[in-house]
Amino acid sequence: MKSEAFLFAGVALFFLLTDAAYIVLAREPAGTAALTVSFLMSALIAFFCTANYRRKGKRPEDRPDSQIRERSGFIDFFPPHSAYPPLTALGMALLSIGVVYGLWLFLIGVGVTAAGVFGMTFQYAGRDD
Amino acid sequence: MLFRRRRQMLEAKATEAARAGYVAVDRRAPASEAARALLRKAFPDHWSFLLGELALYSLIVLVLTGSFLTLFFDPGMETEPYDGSYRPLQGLPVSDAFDSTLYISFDVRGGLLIRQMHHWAALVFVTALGVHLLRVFFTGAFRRPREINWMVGVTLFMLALLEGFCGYSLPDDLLSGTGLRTAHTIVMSIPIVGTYLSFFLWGGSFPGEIILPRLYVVHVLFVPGLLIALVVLHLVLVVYLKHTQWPARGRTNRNVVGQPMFPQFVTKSAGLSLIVAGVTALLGATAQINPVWSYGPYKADQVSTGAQPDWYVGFLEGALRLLPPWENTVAGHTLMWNVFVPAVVLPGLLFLVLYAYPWFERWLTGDMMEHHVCDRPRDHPTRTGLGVAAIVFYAVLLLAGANDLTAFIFQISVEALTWVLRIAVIIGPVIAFMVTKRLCLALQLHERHLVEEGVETGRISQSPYGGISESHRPLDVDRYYRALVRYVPEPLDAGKERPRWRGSRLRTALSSWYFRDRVEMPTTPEQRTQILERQKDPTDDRQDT
Repeated sequence: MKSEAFLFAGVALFFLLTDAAYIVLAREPAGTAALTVSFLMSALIAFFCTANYRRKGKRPEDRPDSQIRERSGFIDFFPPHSAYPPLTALGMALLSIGVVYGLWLFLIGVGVTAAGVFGMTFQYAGRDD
Repeated sequence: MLFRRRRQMLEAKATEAARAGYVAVDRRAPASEAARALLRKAFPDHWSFLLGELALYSLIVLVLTGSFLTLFFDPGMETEPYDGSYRPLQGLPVSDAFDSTLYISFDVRGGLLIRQMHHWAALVFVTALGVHLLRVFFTGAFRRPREINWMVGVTLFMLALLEGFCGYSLPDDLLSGTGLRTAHTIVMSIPIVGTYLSFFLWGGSFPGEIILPRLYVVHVLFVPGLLIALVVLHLVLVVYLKHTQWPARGRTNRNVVGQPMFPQFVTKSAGLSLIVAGVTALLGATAQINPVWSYGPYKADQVSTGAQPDWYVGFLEGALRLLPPWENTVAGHTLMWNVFVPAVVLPGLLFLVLYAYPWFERWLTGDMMEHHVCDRPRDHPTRTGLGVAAIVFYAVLLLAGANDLTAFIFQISVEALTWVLRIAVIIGPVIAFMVTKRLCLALQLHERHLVEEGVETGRISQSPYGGISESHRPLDVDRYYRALVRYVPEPLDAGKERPRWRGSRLRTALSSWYFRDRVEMPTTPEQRTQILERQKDPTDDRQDT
């Protein structure tokens, strides 16, 4: 996953530079926040890919001379269906609107988001494989 | 040795005393008969059957707290200057009703706790009734032979609304007085008899001095008496007709599977009753409700801002706020459609629809069978859709009842919000119906896929050719059973029915609209025979061997 790591590290670097320039030149909080979050998100993906490369080494698709059949077999577990991501999104929406309109809506948003995150984390935690 | 003999003697004595006591009671009262009926009753174990019990136990809390409140409450309407212990109101002219409410709140030991518990329990009671009614509706538990019990339940719901409104009016604070003013207008809006009726009820012009004592008698005697009598009838009918049950292995239309009264049901139900009492007490102790002292006493020329009724009356308030100011004058008399339609015609229609629904559905199916197995809402898309449409209609009205507060909190225009809600109250239910019906059919289709293909495991693998696929495991037996064993009536056949009368064509058309949409499940002939066997009418005496 080395190439993916480089790709996203480049993206993160781009956002970091843009962010720095933006902070100095624009002095405006919304754009700064957006660019900082973008940097953090792409850095997270780059970190994930690096960590995976360190742990698992090269995959067949990283080598130019590999065969398709080398990759065959069990890949991994991927959650097949879940209602929790939309629930989390709804909770975050309520939470953010709550910041504008009042504590009561914010607290409802916190509750819904917590339920969504809890569900996302533990829905398939008990599977046996 | 000595102690053991003594203990044995005592045990024998106690057993003997218990037996003698039981025989004594049994000779004088139907103890064995009651025990046979109750101890042998099979109680359902699904949570959805506890909603009615929630209502029952909150009713018990209501009766107990209400009895305590009657010891101190005085519904009189003569005003005197207030000189109680709440300083900010001193010197204001207050009625005996308001004065005694303040006395209960500030001077009676535990009075405020009991008053707040009473109010909270009332909200829980109506909520539990409403949710229980929805459960019965969506699972089709109102079908033959439970139509009478459905009507008893709807009557209970109506009485609960009336009881709640009477109780809300009693403290004679500014909010409840405003509520009574609204009620007065509603009574006056009835064409021809309205004015006479309002003069009769209020003993003259508004507010008068007679309405609260009358409402008090209604609130503590007539309606509770009727409520308790009907609850008893409701429960007797439940025992007589037995509970419905969810489709599962071993449960058919001809048997009742459940837990015995003792010890399972008694333990669970006692726990639930204590939870209801405990939660109500906790709410009463920690969450303030209806602080009448900060609203102040009722004066006919004052209205408080942000006035809200209790939630279950909110839909009427919302309907009143949504209807445009329509009125006509006929021969010198004003017909107030803007009040008459939302506050008299609408609730009348609502309850008429509720009362008539079991017969309406039976008319559409032509079904004379008894049904003891619950429907899953998805298997009856049209019924579920209609139910959800009704909920959306109700919810929009409830929202409209708070249009001033909503506009204030979200800083939007009241007029714009009112127009949005006026449109939503008409379009919302239609959209809700279509979406729900579609979702029900989608759920059926999903279940069909599960039956045919099994459940996704999430384990992804890649074939030597590069294809990526997910493994499936077969549906477990219980879900398989639930998917296949279902009762979905066929639409009435237009060809089969001879057009003997005029409504017949309408009937077949409606029936077709109601029952034509479904997703057939893949079944073998053997499975179909088995399913029919499980759905057989218990009154059908032809036993097959």
